[in-house]
Amino acid sequence: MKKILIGLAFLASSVFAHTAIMSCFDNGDGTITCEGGFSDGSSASGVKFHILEDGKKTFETKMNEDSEVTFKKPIGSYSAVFDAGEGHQVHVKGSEITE
Amino acid sequence: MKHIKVALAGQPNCGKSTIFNLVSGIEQHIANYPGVTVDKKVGYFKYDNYKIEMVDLPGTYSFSSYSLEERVAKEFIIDEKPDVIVNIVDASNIKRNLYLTFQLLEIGIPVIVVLNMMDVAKRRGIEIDSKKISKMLNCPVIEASGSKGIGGKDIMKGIVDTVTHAHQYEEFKINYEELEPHIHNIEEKIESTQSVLNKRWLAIKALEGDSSIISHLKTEFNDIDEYIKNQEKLFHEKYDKDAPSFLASYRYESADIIHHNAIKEKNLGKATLTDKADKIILNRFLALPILILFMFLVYEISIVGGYKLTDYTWPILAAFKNLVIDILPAADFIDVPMITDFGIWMVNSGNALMNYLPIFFILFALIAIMEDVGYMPRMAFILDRVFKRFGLHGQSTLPLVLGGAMVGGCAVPGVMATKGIADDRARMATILSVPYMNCLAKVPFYTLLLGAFFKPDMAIMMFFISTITLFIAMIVARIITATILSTRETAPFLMELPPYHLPTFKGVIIRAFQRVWLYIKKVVTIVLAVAIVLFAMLQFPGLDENAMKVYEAQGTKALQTFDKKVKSSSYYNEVDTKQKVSTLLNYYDGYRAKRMVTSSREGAEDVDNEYREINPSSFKFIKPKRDKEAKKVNKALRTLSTQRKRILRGMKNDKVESSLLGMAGRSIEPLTRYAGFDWKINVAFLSSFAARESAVATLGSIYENNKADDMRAEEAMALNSGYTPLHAVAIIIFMILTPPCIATMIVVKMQTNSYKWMLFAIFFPVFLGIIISSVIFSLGSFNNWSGVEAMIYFYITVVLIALIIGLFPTKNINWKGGIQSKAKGQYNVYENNFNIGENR
Amino acid sequence: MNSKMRTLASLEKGEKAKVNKLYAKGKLLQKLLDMGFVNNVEIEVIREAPLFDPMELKLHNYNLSIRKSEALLIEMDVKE
Repeated sequence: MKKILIGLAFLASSVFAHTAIMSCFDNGDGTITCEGGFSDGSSASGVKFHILEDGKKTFETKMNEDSEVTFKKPIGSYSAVFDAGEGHQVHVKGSEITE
Repeated sequence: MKHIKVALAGQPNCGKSTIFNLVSGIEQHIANYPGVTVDKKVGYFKYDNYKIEMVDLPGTYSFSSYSLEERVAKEFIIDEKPDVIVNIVDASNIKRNLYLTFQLLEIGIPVIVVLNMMDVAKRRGIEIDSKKISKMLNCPVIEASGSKGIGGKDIMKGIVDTVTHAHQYEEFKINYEELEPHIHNIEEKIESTQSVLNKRWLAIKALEGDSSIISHLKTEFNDIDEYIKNQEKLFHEKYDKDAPSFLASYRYESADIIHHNAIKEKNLGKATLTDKADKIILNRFLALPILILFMFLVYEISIVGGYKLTDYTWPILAAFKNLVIDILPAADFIDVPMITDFGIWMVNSGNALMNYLPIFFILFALIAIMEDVGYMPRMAFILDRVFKRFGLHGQSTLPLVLGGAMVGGCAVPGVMATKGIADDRARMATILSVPYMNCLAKVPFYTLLLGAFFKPDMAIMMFFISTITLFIAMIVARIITATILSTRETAPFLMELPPYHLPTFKGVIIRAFQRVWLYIKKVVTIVLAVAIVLFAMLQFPGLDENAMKVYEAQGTKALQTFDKKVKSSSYYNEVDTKQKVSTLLNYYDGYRAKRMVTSSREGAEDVDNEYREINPSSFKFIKPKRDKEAKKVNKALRTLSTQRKRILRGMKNDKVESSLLGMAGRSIEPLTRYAGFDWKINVAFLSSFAARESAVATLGSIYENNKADDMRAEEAMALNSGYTPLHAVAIIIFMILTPPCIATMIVVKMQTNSYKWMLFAIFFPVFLGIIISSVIFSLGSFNNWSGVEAMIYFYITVVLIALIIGLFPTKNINWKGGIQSKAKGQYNVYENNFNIGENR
Repeated sequence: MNSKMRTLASLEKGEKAKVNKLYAKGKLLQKLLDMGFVNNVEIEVIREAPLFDPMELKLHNYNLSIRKSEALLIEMDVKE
């Protein structure tokens, strides 16, 4: 039911993240740090963050006070998702994250 | 180099702008006509040793004074007296277009008729003998096709020829038979006038009851009013006709004579392509689904496409930000120079707005396409009945959709799109109700609150929030049109449904650019000015000494910890003073910031090389690779960076709390208490005025507690704040109604042309928001409602009110005061007496 | 040739008639005149909007929409 509602409420569940930003950075020690934010320089502290592997959420947390998340680098292909609400999501593919 | 001034006149949908673009090329600028919100386009071009200035008058069906556009067009002619009037005529619809041509010819300024869209006319089997028309009207007639780029040179040549032969110009006269003696009488009456305008034209216009001409004459003859009325009365008594109708019929007859003699239509009565298309597009059952599909497409293209574009534009903005940070003086550990703070603040404020440009550009281009194609009036035709009930207009559809249907939109393009609404009252109501629509920038804020208080009911709450806005906007429109806007002029809904046209690429791009440029020029500049004020309000009076001492102690402690950790490293001598550490820290943070905005491998390598060059010996601490000793420093450095951020954040929060804005938030607490808002929430709202997302950050930062690292803002809010979901609902309701952002304010000011309305647009929602959230909060507290219950009751109430207004038409009272100008009230009184069609 | 006076609002889709008299005043009158509602002009009703109001007309070979509340003020001469 909820799913249907969401579908109704957001006909266009397209990614509308022109105000949400995230970039990630490989620390070179087996961890990745992602930093989120908004285009006006606002902090993203408290905003949800999760990792997708094969379309499944394998890790879910929230941005810390510095609008950052540091996590262990998954082995396979993955993508990091910054989720500030409907239309404010940013996906970053693991393959694009460099040291 | 001689100068020629040309006025470009024509009826709406005659393709005037394509001709304008064709002739004036790229050198054109848009301004407003003085004191009104009508666009004034001016283009310049050179031809044959003449510099020609071409002013695009607003498209009007006639040259009377009943609409704003007509007044503006006429006042331009009166005040600026152009050398030539170029009249664009739609060749496929000559008869109605000539009605205006005859009025232009009478002004007493040389006219050039341009038959535009000749290709369309040919396709429709209309044969036009333009030489014959030229003979009959005694003025040059040029064949052109703006969208095909044909006729530009001929028009320029025609203008120059006309000016060089101006001395041979002979006044154009229509013989109005029965009316002639009266025209003559008035002409004699104003014989002594200083006006350079043609006296006969002034007399005819005066008889028509043209208000701007009469006031023009009144400056010299203060009894002219009486005299004209008397002449009209005499005419009426003699022939039982009134002058305006008589003149209009006469002009149409004249147009008919030309039509009869110079034009042959072969396919008369055959269905055109437009007729066939409208059978589907305006079909009773298909019209609405098609309209929704189009709106959805506009939304998708601008949003999805715009988002894809921001992927490319954002790094540019971020790079600019990093560049500014590089130039500004660096921080000395926790001591950040104010100029640096200020610089970053300004760049952030600017970037937040510039980031919308790709979206706006696509939106404006799509709007231009819809305008050119001819779908806009049809959209109004389909939905007018619904909107009329709420005091709006069929043409309010697009602004409201852009303002945010469903997921969220933006009030800035929404308000900008109200320009074309013909009915002044509906236009104002639309401008003032669009900001209530669901602004996209509010979404993160709702998400934060819902995540904290309504975890299990998030979906249904979001559904309520995103669908309620339209109802609220409609109710607000109804309220303000019935009260403060009730005496504003309305216009009859007489809209041409023009034939469909393919838009020209050039025209669309030019218009999109012009609108985006307008946004940059007006909005961004003012927002930056406001940002300065806000910065000051957040900075001063600043931290007191005691607080400073606490933070300095924290800083010293962090440095000591760092020192302890790196003592054992062989590189200790490179980081053994505060100075060295501080420089290294800035180097490290700068590197991180740059790396964060590069996504490609090449970009990353470029940043590495750049930093290696800046300082090779420091670089090993950033990328220690296998250097064990450097790794020690790297680890300590990361910790130190985090600690510094925390200290700076603490300082910032303290600063905000004790700042002028914080004081303002505190001072209104007694008022907002009834809605359950304490000063912290007030501050969040106040700062959200600058940009909505910052409300999230502000609330987040105010509620941060430094004890537990894994306690996020929202949990801290739910646990430590003593807030209940009912509080959250009150906040959400206020946020739904909250005033638009500064950028919206500025476009409201632009479109209403008054600061008074801008202030109204700010304070009315605040007032409404406080009242409604107080009512809901108090009722909820009294009845022990849960948050979701409160929201449901609120939702049902709003929807019911909207439905009641929509289903039961009420009659507006449109009059006020005793004596009114001719333009106001009269027509509305009729509307009241005839409400048929309402009760089918 | 019989004819009957009816308001424009009462005409059905596809009906044609000639303008006989305008009962509008002031601004509305001028606007109607400017749009071509002059005496003896033939008007054809093309269709109603999906929600029954406004209506779409054809006159002087162009298409125009008008609300029924305004169409009530236009008296048409309908051939029977």
